[in-house]
Amino acid sequence: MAVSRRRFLGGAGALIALPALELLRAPRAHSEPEAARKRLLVYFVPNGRNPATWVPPETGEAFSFPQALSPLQDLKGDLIHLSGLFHTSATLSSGTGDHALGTGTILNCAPYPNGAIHGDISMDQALVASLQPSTRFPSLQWGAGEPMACDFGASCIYTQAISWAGPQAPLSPTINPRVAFDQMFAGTDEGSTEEEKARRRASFVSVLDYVHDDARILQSKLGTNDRQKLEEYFTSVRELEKRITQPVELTCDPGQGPIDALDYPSRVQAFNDLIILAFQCDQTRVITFMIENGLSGRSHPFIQAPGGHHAITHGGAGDLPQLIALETWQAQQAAYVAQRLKTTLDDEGVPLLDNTAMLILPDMGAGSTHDHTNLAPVLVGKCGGALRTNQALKCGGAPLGNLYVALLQAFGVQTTTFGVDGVEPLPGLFA
Amino acid sequence: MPRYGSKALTFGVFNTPADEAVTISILAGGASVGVPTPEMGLVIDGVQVQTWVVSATPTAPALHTFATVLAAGEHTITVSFPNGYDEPAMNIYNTLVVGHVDVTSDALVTPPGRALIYVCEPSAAPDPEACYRDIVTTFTERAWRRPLTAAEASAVVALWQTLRVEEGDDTAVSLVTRAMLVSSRFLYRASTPTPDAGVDDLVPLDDYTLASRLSYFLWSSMPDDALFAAAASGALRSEQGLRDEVKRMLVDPKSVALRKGFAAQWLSTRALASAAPDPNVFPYFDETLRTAMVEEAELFFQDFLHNGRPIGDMFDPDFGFVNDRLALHYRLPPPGNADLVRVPLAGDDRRGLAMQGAWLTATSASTRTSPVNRGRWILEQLLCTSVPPPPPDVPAFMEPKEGATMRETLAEHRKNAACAGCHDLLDPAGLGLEELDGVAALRTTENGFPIDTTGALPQGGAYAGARELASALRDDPRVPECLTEKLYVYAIGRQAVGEDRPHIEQIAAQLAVEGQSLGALLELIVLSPAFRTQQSEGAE
Repeated sequence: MAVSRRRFLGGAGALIALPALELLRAPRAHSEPEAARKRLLVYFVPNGRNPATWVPPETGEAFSFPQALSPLQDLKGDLIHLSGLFHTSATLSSGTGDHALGTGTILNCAPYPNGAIHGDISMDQALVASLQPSTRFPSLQWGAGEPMACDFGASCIYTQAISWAGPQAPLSPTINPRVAFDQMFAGTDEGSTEEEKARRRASFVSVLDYVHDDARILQSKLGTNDRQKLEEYFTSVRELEKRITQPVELTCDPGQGPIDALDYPSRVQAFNDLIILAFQCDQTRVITFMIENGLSGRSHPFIQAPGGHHAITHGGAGDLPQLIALETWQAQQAAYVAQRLKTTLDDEGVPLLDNTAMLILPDMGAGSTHDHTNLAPVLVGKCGGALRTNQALKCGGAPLGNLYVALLQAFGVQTTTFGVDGVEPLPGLFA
Repeated sequence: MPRYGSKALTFGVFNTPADEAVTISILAGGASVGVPTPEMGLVIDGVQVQTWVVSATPTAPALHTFATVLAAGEHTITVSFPNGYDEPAMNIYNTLVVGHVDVTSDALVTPPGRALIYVCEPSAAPDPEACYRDIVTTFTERAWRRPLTAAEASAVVALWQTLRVEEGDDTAVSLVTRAMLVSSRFLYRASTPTPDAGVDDLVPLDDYTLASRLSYFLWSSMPDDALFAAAASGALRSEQGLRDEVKRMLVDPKSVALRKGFAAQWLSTRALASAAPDPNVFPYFDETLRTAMVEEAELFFQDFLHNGRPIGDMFDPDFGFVNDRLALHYRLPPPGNADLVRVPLAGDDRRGLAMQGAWLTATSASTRTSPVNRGRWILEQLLCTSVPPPPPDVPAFMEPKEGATMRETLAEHRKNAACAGCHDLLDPAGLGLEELDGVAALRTTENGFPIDTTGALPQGGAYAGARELASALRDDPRVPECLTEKLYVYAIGRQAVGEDRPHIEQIAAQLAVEGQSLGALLELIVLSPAFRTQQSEGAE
């Protein structure tokens, strides 16, 4: 019989990191392979990065932190600064806006047939498909951006989502932190005794069996296209059933959760904290977060950068101070998450960051020229010892897909290809 | 500018039938920059009973609780912000963010929503089980927006009977309602037409699905009882039946959804919500003005739903909506009202869509106008003329010359052949509106130079200034054709594909004959085969 950790602590207010006791560790942890306990966080930033203030000129272990990179300075030993990656799939289409191409294919390296929602499975979803994680949520997609203007010649989803479960299956992020919190923690553990909870779980099984059977009846009456649409519904029902019929063993105290209807910087802060909470409570081990959508025109008056983000990337020298302030602020947000990953322990007393790969991922190189040939993402975390951190790596035009091949291998996935251009693991990443 | 002030928000008027011990809990967080930490007060029936200093934040809020006894009768519960401060020019302020206010009674009470679900009272019914069967099937019919077949009703009742064994009768009802709210019939609108095929592979939607399509188009909500009755009687199969319902639904208050759903997108009031004019450049743009612009655009659109005038009159109307704040901005006589009111306008008065604040501000940058964005708005929103994307390797924006006007800067831009292809279309459309600045205020100079209002519409000829643009658009047949397409897409809820073209053109042609009003357009869309049928996919 599983003993709830919360009961053991007897309602103590603060979280205490207990040494892992055999009795308390959930049985499933024993059967999980090492690699499955690693975590991926993709932290997406839009409209490229200004190279002069983001890319260190040096290569190797002795590298500097230009202004917009400087918030990550204290994490130097834990990170790899990459530059010179070639985003092949964004260069394979004409007639479509560069932001749709840059954002929409940044994580799946999929070729882009003009206009239609096509896409293909993104790296995070390939990881989920391969590892089949046993966490309550196989993965989570969040974002703080609000939909604004969409890019030319493409569905709006190309600038508003980076995770794809497969072709024609983009995963739209949850953009309300309250909803994200409630998804994880509201309604868990219905019932006050173990007996009540078990009874409620059994009732949920009856409910979901009913909706499933009824939906099959409906499906039999529909035409082919509509039947296909309904398959998405069945997937959701299956995932819901898995989630709400598992006994919940919360090893953390989620607190009250964020207030609904926050302003933009508060939403980003709320999501930053939720990322830590989700990992700490082991609700999931794969999260993608978009700090804003591709082509974001957001104004940032709270850091004296009132110009619309996209507009100031195409502004002249007069707009540059605002752009640098904006990119620095975004790096501060990423650095906050990374620092908290470093100081927050999992239920075995190990800092979260040790077993995490956090990818700070821009959608293009220089935003002013929509450069898809020279991307500069940053990897934070050793990913369970797999990655060789504390270096600036110049990739010399290597395909972006190779970065993802390397990351997938770091997570224990046996693959040598990814997307349209990944053919081998990116050299220089592995420890 | 506000200094220390007090704001109050009434959260609830509660009617307690008997004396009740309650706990009031308020989830709140706050922030302060350069001024004291926000305080929060709880006011019951006008009397402040408790204050707190709110040191929690909106992202990690705290519950503030207060226990009391409410005597029988009506009570007003208010949350106040006694030391609120906002001085934007100096960037010092404090905020109080209230997530929710819960009034929890210590004893069990009947919640107000119960009567909506409990259509009969089992404890008072001669046959309690029959009453419960009624409750669950009625709820399901409302959730699915149509009557149940005998088999479906049996299945719902069977679910309740399975659940009641372990959970009890009432919890089982609650679980059945949850089942219905995740069922495919609630989440999707699926037409399951009768086997007799329609004409030309177009199968008529069944009556109830058509009713839902109609209500979600005009109300963004489910059908009401009258619309359900029309579906039941077969009235929706006739043109007259549909016309009658459309008329009725447009005067129902629920039609505000057309303003919030369609007009807010078409006239860019949604985009205006996130516009951020720089307070250093436009210090007189504040939230009151923003709200007024949003209201103005939406009320203006709503007026055209009922006034029977041609769509072109949106550019040359004899009326407008202003309040004192907006009138000040538009240099119109103030109507003596903080709320927007309809006023007569004529001649040189600022009026019509071409001069409407919402889209002009929403398409501007934070420190200046953006003629390119305005041009794109006119082309895409009014003329349905799409512009191809920028080419790859778009060069850096031309450095604006010291003291040059936007027009001069953009002209440099268009000397580049790679840019000219599209910008020769976009820029002239927006450049004629340079007399309206980044927050849509009229101006006569820019950087000391007099404004040049020369502009041109693609295949539409030249114009100079907003008034001439308005005249050109009033008479341009592309405007009602474009609005037809946009409303059509909104009505059927998906992007238009090749098969939709003939329907859209048919509606636009009919509209031209029937007086070009917005009301007529809505009716024509509803009567169109595209709205009342679906493509048959053949037998499976």
